[in-house]
This record gives sequence, structure tokens and C-alpha cells, in this order.
Amino acid sequence: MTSHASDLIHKQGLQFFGSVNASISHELKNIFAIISETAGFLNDLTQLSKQGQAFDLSLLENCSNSIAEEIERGFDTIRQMNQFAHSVDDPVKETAVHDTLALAVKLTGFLSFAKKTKLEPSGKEISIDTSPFLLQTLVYRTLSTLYRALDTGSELTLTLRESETSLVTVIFSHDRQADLNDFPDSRTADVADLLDASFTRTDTGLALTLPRENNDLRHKFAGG
Amino acid sequence: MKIILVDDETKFINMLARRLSLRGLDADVAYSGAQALEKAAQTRYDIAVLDMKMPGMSGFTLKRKLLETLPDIRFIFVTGHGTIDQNGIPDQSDDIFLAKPLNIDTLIDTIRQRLNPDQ
Repeated sequence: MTSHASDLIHKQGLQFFGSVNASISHELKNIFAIISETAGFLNDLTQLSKQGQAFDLSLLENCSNSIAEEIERGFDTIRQMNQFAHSVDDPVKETAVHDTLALAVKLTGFLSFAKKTKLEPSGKEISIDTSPFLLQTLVYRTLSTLYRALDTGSELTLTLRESETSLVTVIFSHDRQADLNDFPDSRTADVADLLDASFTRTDTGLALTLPRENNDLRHKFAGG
Repeated sequence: MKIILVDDETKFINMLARRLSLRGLDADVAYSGAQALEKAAQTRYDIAVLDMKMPGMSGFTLKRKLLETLPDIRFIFVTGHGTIDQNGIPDQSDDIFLAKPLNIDTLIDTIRQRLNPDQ
């Protein structure tokens, strides 16, 4: 790996990995907090029953449904954590862009300042030769910046397009004005440079263009 | 004693309010900072139990705004973060921070201690 690629992975990558894991653990704690309170409430009802006090039995059904829902939410979160953890398995590989976008939307959804975000379905699977981890980093950073720049209640739509045979474009469109004058910041720009990706502004958002093939990136990760 | 619980995790605070009610404590719920401010304009709360991170308005911002309406209100912050790092807290007050998942008895003891520190 070249020293630049190595620096980027070790400094930015580890920091990104840490911050995503922190937000996932925050989500899991919220889930456990609900399960804990619901279990506590079931215990409260048990104590009431032991004291001969009647209560509506539908409360028990509501509690068990709530616990089941939170367990499913927890499994879903762990599936995302697992998918994210495996993004570092291969430095460079054929990467399904829509799957990367879907994961980034879910992971950034744990941020307290996240905005409602819709990912348009893609007609067919579009894969590019890239670093899955750095692509995830780039999309996550872009979404985070947009969330911070947009007002509460704003909505964001992500659309994936094949703009040319050699290029793939991700359109981030928002329904309200956003101040993106400082975007991309230097750290986001570093990741984009390494991936040979570029950003352009549109009237309603941002376009991220990515190359389908990136032999230079393979070379950089191979240490050339 | 009148309590307001504020958290965007609706199931969490609804359940917490129910459990406090079973223990004789009167707790309202709000699912956002904006909703909490609306309720605080109508009701004189003695203590607010606030999630630190909420969409739209953080717990700290909400605290500042609630104090404009209710200058005597006390605060307990609740966090889902792994550790409670006082270094990241832009407020040097003596507010109390509790980690999720909560222990209901600890919460009640803390509420009573915040409202009657001499007891």
C-alpha cells in the first residue's frame, strides 16, 4: 500500500470505523433500554397480580409484541454492523454501489441529526471496482454533511445512475436549500481523490461520480 | 412533583412514564424538544429527564430553553453513549447524567435527591 493510502486508512479509516461503531452501540443501547423498561413493566404487573390487583391482559400482549419488535430491530442493527465490519475484508473489489448506499443510509440513520432519506431502487445491479470501505466512508461523510446542512424536516433522495459506460453517478437531491459552500472538506476530498471520485453541485443537490474501473487504486493498495 | 420525560425513543419514555406512574410519580412525556417546550408553556414542571441526543434539538439546548420558561426546573440527563464523558459536555452545572438502560429505582432516587438535596 502506498504511504498516502496507508495514512488515509489508518488515520481517517480508524476514526470512521470508531465513530460508526459508537453510533451503532448507541442504537443498541436504546434498544436494550426499551427491552429493559418493558421487562421491568412486566415485573411490575406480576407484582400487582400477586397483590390481587387486576390489570388489562392486553398489556401483556403489548409488552411481548414490543419486545419482539425491539429484538428484530436489534438483529437488523447487528446485520448492518456485520455488513459494515466486512467492508474491510478486501482492500479493492467489485462492489455493489446500491448495497453500499443502502448501508450508508441505514448507518447514518443512527445519527441524531439524520434527515429522512429515500434510496431510489436501481433497475439493475451496478458494481464498480473500488475500495468498499473507502466508498462507504465517502458516502457516509457526504450524507452526514448533507444532514448537518439541511433543516429539520428536509428530505433527501439518493439515485444511482450509469452516466457513461465508464462512470457511475450517485445523485444526492434535497428538497430544501443547503449551505454546502465548504463541501467537500479536506478529509472527504482526500478520500474522493484516492477513489478517483468527483463531486459536482446541482441545483438540487450533489452528484458523486465514480469510475467503474480503478486500476490505479489497486496499484496504490498493492503498494506501487 | 411534576416530571417531564423527553426522548425521541417513544416506546422507552412511554414505558418509563407508566412505571413511574405505578410508583405514584406524575410524569408527562414529550418526543422532541419542540413538544417539550409546548408542554412547559402550559405546565409547571419541577424536573425534566432529558435524552442528550435528539433530532432537531439536543438535550442541552432544550435545557437552556426550558430555563427561560421555568427558571427553577431541575434536570437529569439520560444518555445511550457508552461512557459519560464530562469533557464533551458544554455545561459546567451540577446536572446528573444517567446511562441507558436505566434502573427505575436509581432514577426515582435521583429525582428525589435533585428536588430535595438536603434529605
